Amino acid sequence: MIRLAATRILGALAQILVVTLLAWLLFYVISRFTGASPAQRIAGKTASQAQIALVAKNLGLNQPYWKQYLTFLGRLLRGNFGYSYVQSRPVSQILWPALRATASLVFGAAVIWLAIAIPVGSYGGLRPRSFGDVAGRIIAILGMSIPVFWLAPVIAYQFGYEPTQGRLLGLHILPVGTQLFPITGYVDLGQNPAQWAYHLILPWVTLAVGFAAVYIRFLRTLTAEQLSEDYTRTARAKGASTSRIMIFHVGRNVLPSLTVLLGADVATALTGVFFVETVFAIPGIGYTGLSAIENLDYPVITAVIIVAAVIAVIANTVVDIAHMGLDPRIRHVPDA
Amino acid sequence: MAHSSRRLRGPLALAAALIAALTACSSTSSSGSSSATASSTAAPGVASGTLTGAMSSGAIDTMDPNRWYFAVTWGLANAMCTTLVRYADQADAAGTQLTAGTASMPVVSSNGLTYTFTLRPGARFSNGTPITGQDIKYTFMRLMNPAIDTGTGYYFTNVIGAPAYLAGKSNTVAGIVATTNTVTFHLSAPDGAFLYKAALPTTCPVPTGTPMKSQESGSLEMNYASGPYKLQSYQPGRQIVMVFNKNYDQSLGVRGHVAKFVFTIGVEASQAALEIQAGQLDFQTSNLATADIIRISHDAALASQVHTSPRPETTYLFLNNEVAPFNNVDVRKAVNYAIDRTAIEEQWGGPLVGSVTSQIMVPGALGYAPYSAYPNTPNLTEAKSLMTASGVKLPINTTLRCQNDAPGFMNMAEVIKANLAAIGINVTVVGSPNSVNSSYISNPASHTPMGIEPWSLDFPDAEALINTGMDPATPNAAPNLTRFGDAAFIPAFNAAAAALGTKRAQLYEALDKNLMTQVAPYAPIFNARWYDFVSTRVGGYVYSVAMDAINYNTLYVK
Repeated sequence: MIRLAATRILGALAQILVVTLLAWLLFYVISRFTGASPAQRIAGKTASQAQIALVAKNLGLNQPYWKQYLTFLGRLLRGNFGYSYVQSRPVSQILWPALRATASLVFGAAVIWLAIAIPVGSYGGLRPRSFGDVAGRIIAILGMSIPVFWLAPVIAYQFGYEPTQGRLLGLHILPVGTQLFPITGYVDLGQNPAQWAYHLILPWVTLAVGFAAVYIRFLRTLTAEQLSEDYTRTARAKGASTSRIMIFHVGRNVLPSLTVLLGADVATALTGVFFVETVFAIPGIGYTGLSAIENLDYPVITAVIIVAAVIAVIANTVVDIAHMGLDPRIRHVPDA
Repeated sequence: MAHSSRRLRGPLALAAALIAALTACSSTSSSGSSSATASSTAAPGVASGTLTGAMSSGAIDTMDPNRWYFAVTWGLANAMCTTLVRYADQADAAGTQLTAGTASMPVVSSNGLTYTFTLRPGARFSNGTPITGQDIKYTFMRLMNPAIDTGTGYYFTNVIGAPAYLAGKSNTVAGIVATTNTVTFHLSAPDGAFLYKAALPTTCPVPTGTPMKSQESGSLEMNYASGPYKLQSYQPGRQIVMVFNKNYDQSLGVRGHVAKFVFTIGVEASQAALEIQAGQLDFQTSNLATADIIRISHDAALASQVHTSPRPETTYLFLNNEVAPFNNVDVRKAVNYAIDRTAIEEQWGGPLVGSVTSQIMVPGALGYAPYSAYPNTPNLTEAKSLMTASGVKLPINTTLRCQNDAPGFMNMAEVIKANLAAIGINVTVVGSPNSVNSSYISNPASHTPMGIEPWSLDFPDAEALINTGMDPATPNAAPNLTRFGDAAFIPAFNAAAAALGTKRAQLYEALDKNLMTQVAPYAPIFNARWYDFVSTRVGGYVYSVAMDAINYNTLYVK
């Protein structure tokens, strides 16, 4: 088990190194084939070619590519992502607060989508074609069908704006001026935990809807499969209660697959929640990356891509190791 | 930035449009919170209450006062800086008039080569230190320094000694002479727009000795603000708090009636509009999204909260005068006759958001006299006739470049493509994000044949558009996207730039007409309008045409 985990971690480190190279190279490819130049952008509209060249020199962009990469890698190994061309401050000062905001959003949403999907999906697997199952499947189909770029503004509108006008879901049931939820905004957890949660409720729900739908379907199928297995029939025959079968038998077998899916989805969500961050004004990693792209702020763009890749690699590694811990079959595979 | 940066058009704008369209399903009157002390007018010298504002994520380009260039930071500069001369805190054309700032209006020598400014007694930084002539000289040297300059240093290259300083051959600008309370600029050639340039936000005073390295923490505006407001705190990407500057001497101009402004950074424009309507926000720094303009403008209950004004901006189809077929004047004229300006502008939002135009100059700026060089709808007979006269072999294949991360551009490009197909020009549209597109087309080596670009003026004078954007003496300059280099026009450009007052206006009006009717370097399309939507608590609203932003100096809490 330890050897397997160590191998997996070493593999992850190698992946991260490759990713940094690819992320860095990407921008030189972009520069070369699109003609986009951060020096031009920083020097301003009236800059002469000499001024642009001077800015390029100050940024180190006049160095050979290999030398720029080594400089970049050397800094990176010391945990230094360099300086933002636009904000003139260390990239880490931009990145970490953004990462904290995105993590707040994603982990909170994950709690919600699991809290919805586990009971609904399990019930659907346990009682297929029941009213509850059909209702759960309809909800799942709706959840999967609604794109987040539509859902986010609608939720903000319905639960942020409409109550201020005395309406909730179209019904005039609230006093005019009711501030049910803020339409936008973000408060750091360390600054005020209650306000942090209050400002994130709508974004959490928005992000959770789509994932909950997928998880409902996934858990329903897995649960149904496990319930048709011989071991559950045996457990029933031995007089085990439904709740005991669901928790200690089915649950234990569903958990490894659920962990794998969750790890992959959290990693995806951490780097793909741009619309939710945009609509609710959460200064997260997606929004930071996009602003950097708008300004050709290469160090920030590179850092965002590297962090995204590292998150994906770490998440996969953690999931694999957790999978080994949860599923004895994995860790006992010869030469696995 | 005259092209692109002064106005944020990017993926965020795309998201804004989408969100605005999705939420444009209901409109009711704003409740408008009223937590602050109510008042109906601003009391001079008294600042009270707090106003909350929102700005988009990329709205702040820099917090170094000698570097800022985006419209939002220019708006802040107008509140935290008093330049040598400044713009009157008035709406519309009155707001483009210059008035005394830290200095009295200058004494100008009869040959127009020397400007002497005398600093006014009340001119001081927010830490209480008086502003000296040496500080002003240092400020101009700092903004011109290549390590600081973001584009406006170019405007002072006719100050004696500036070229040597820019080239690193001198560590001072000999043509700026300072004493404790005066500063004199000696020019190598008359400059009719020099006072406008001296009012640029990048001339915001900083103390002598400020490092010649970008200062992004906001410390300069915290300690050395010279306007009615100063910076209290700045969290990049999160929040800006601007408070009343108690050391601002109201004898420099009665400005500032709000105790505190709290700006949240990273709020998308349509969401901000929704928050204003819900009474959770007072104003936003961005122009309203088109969908919101349409929605809110049609709600009579919100009429008093909506403010609109022409922007000092033009959106145009540039035609590269050095690249075939647009190196042929008849083809360029044919394009001007063939395009359907009305249909193109419809893609942007229609008459509500701007006015079609076929002239270079924009409303509100010196040198603007309305005329129509080409029709708003296609005249294909004339266009085809010109194509025949041009002698070019048809069909022609060419490329049009524009940004694709803001709504409207690609749609406008498709209309132009259809229009030009009718005269035998086959256009391939290439879209890319604004950051990539603007960088690409600015590079003369790209030989971009044509493209759609907006251009907003750095100051309300024709020079900021005509000379900066198409000086025939510098066809390879980055902003000269048309690569216009007709030497026959150089004397007219120089004469207009050197002229003053009425003569200056007349020369630019004539130049505008001559350019469009004789050589048609590009095809103007429309002039955009500015829209603001503010809460019911906001009083004293004024849009600063010169800054292309809300004027914070006049605002008060009702």
